[in-house]
Amino acid sequence: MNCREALEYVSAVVDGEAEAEKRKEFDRHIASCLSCRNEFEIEAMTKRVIGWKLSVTKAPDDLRMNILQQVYTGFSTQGTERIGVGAFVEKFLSWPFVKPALALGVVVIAVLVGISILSRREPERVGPASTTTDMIDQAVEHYANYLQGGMQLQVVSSNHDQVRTFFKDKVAYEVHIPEIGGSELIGGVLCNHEGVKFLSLVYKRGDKVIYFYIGCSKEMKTSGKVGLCAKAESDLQKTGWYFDTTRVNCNVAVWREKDEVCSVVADMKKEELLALLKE
Amino acid sequence: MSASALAATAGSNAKQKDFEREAVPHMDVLYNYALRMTGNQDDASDLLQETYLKAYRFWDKYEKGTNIRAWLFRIMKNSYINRYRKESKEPDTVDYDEVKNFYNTIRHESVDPNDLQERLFGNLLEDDVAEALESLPEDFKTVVILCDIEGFTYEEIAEFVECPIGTVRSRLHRGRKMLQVKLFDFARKRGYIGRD
Repeated sequence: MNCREALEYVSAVVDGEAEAEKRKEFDRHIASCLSCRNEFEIEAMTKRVIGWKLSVTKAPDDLRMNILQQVYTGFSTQGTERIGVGAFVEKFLSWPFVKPALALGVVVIAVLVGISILSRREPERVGPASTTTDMIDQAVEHYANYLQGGMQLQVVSSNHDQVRTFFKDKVAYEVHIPEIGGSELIGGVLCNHEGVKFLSLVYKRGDKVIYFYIGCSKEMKTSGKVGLCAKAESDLQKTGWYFDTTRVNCNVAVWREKDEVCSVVADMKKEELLALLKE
Repeated sequence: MSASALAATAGSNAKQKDFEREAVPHMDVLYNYALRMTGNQDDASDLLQETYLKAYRFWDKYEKGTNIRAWLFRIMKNSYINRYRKESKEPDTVDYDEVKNFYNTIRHESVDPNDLQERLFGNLLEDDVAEALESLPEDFKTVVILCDIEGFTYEEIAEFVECPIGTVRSRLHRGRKMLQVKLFDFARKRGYIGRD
């Protein structure tokens, strides 16, 4: 083996990829050739330095989940997608006077909202009942929030067991993740409303998002922070179901299951929703 | 729901399951490659995201049974080239002969490889090595990352970069040489080794 050949095989020897015969020839050559020996030693050192200093870095969990969610639903949960609206907003904010103008706008709106709340509140001061949030309002809000990319899932998986395990220790009741025919589980998130925990589950059917919002009856009752409206309560008692078809762009179905109050929100007709749930 | 819509939904579910089983487990390897190619987490995240969105969109183009990692890797490499193609800075101030001469000097004084390594490269920080690697031209950087960080075999690397094994070997040799020059230069500039 001459120097030219030796240099061709330096990498293979360093990486343990040279055939035994070549390796022998190489060793014989560098035993007598100082220049090639040095080159071999420096290259081996370089490989070691890289391996020691640069370890394999895993993809962060939130990145992994954000990507999966985007892949499956087409919605982003973070600002990682720089093309489109995010970039526009960034650019918009960078214009001079925009920030002060926005700040002023926020103040004006805050004052207006404050005034409207005060003026509205006056005649309604009836009792503590007004501090209870309607569960359906919440469910619809979360659903809309999710569609707009404002809600990030804590667990992204189509595997029911995996999602169940994620929630298992976090809520007081037995978690059950519904199987819905023709729909795929995307993932979930645990919501906490003043200490009352709600399980949020996102499914997808075709291009439609089906959003489950499930709470514990007992927890809701004892806290008094979240509840159902009187109409819903009476319908549930009479028929076991309650439908809210007054919302924009979606309908809501509510029912009870063991200790849970379940609600489902989707851009579907009442009949479609009912058919879906019966599956 | 009509029969065709149902079929479409069922089809998309199967696609999602396949994708989850085959493509998703390779996210770490790809993220690591993206991180070393770009040198920062933000660009690596963008690159990983773009790769997986494309992979899902073109999932029907993936030939079942072929090397999925190589397929994903090629998508990422193309995305990288489209986004970041730039003039690579050639190593400056020192050339390879200088490294070799310096080594030749210290080699006479010691035989302990650890000692020699420290005298040649000093105790470079992780950031120094990452920066040096990031500065290499794309083709050389790629093979070094795959071989020295990910630990892939030549055969696998050849499949990834679609080159003969001989090319992988020579790119590794040249890539590491460029890196040696960079690292030596860093070590000297940072004062980790003497300037004699």
